Amino acid sequence: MRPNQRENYEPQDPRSASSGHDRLRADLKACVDSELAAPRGWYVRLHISLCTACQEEVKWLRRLGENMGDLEKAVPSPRLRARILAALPDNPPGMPALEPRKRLQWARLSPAPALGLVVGLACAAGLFAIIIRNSPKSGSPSGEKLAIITRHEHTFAPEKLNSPTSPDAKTVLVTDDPTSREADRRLATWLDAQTHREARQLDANHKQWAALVKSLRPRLASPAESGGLRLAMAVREVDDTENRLAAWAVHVGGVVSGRSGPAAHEPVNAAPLVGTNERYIPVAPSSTAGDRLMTLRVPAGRVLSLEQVLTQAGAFGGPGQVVAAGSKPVSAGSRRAQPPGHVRGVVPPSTYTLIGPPGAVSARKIGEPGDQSFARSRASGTITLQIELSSFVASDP
Amino acid sequence: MPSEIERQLVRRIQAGDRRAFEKLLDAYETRVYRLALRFTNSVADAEDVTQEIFVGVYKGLGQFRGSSALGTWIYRIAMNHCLEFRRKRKLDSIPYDEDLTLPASNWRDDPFQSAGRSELTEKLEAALSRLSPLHRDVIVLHELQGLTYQEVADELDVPVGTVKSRLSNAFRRLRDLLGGYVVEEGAPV
Repeated sequence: MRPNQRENYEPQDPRSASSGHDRLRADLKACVDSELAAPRGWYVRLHISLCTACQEEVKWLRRLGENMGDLEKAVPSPRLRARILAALPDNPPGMPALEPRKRLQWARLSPAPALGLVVGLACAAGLFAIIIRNSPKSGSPSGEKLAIITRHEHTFAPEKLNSPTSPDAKTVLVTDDPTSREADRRLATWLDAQTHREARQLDANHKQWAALVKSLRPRLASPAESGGLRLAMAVREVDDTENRLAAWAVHVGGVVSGRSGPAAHEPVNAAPLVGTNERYIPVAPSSTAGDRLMTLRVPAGRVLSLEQVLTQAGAFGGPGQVVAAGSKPVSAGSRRAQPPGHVRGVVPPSTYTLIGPPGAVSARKIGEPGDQSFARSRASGTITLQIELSSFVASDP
Repeated sequence: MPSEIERQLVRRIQAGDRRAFEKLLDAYETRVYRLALRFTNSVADAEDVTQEIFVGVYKGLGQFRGSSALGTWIYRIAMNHCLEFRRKRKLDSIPYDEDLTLPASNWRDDPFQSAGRSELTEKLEAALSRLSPLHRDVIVLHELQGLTYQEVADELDVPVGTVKSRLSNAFRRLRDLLGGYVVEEGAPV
């Protein structure tokens, strides 16, 4: 074997025939190490629970990892400490010299030209940075102030710069010196508050979700009886969710159509919606050009529950009471507990609404017994899932 | 090490307190030494590299501002020295079909061999030495040194996804190298 082949060596596993399964196997090690982000991690864990081959591989990965953890037993000799101390220079290291702080990374702006107003888009924080030319009476020698506002601020007036800001305000920061430590500190505080606010909102969503699923259990029945479901979901990453749902559908032997991207399969005629009973928690899924409607037709026997479908889409990821199908609720501390947020149940045939993280989810039955697509689905042993994806945006406080 | 204690320690070292530097050595010397040993495969070289690392740490503390954790900063210096050592020595993975089971005549030439090591440990060490440098690095940093994927990525200056795929491939390679040797649960190491 040549050296360059050794670098990329990957044995062919005769147990897995599909490239999708091979890609998933590449994530097993990261899953064992808890290094997969929540949506992908849930998908991989769900697959492991269904695939005996991957279960065996996970066991082997864990054992080998544990064995390797015991390899490091070497200790340095005492003479090494003496050598190090003897090699140190006589002069002390000294203190670092004071330097001006660099400009904030979120607002790499050049000073405004004579135009008076320059707007630059900050990076992942989604903030807008504006340099305003003020009168020479302002603090900085150039008369400029730096203001950083959130993307939700649709109108902006220079007089707002004069009022003090708070961590929850639309105007995040006003400063005469964008290079100051205080500016950094206040911006970091705002970003932390933003993160905590979203986390609290997600936590509230999770609890509502778990309570609602528990309350629906007495009325749940097999999804195969309904023929199909339409789900409307608000998700963080539309592309990622769409890809995961499509990959799941293909994995279980179904077909996908109506995607915005390539690899569309045979078209499926969708039945009209039945009922409009919807209720949303106070988040604001935005209807943008990135919204998608995808249709999956999968073998009815492979869809155990609506929750399974939503798990594929990464709708689960936080704390919640575990509900096991056909039994009493299982607490997280019991031996039969699933990972937090993992819920199993069955799909109700009637119109209903579910509320789940990270945004609102609604599900409606497709078709009545006389409907042709329903009959076609029943005859083919498949179930049709129409999933409408839109972007999730946490509401402002 | 709690951050406040860390800051006080750094200030004392910056002022020339040798005892404070010894406390730093107490916290990091063994870990850095083990890292150097993995890269050099020689006790003598590992001691040399470790000495260079900590002399560099001592001098560099004059410019340390605390923008990162002290351990992270020390680790970065250690990795730079280890990678530089390897570049200079042009160490490479041992060819696939060489026999690695020959005992060393002097235990110092084979720092991982000592009395009482189990058969599994011997096989694991042999398999590790047969990995490519790219695979071995991620195994050493993640599995043996305990770094997270992100920390490994930062040290090696590669994306996290690359770390993930290298680790996955490295474990598959180890599985092939260990051959029919089954790692049973509860087996002594």
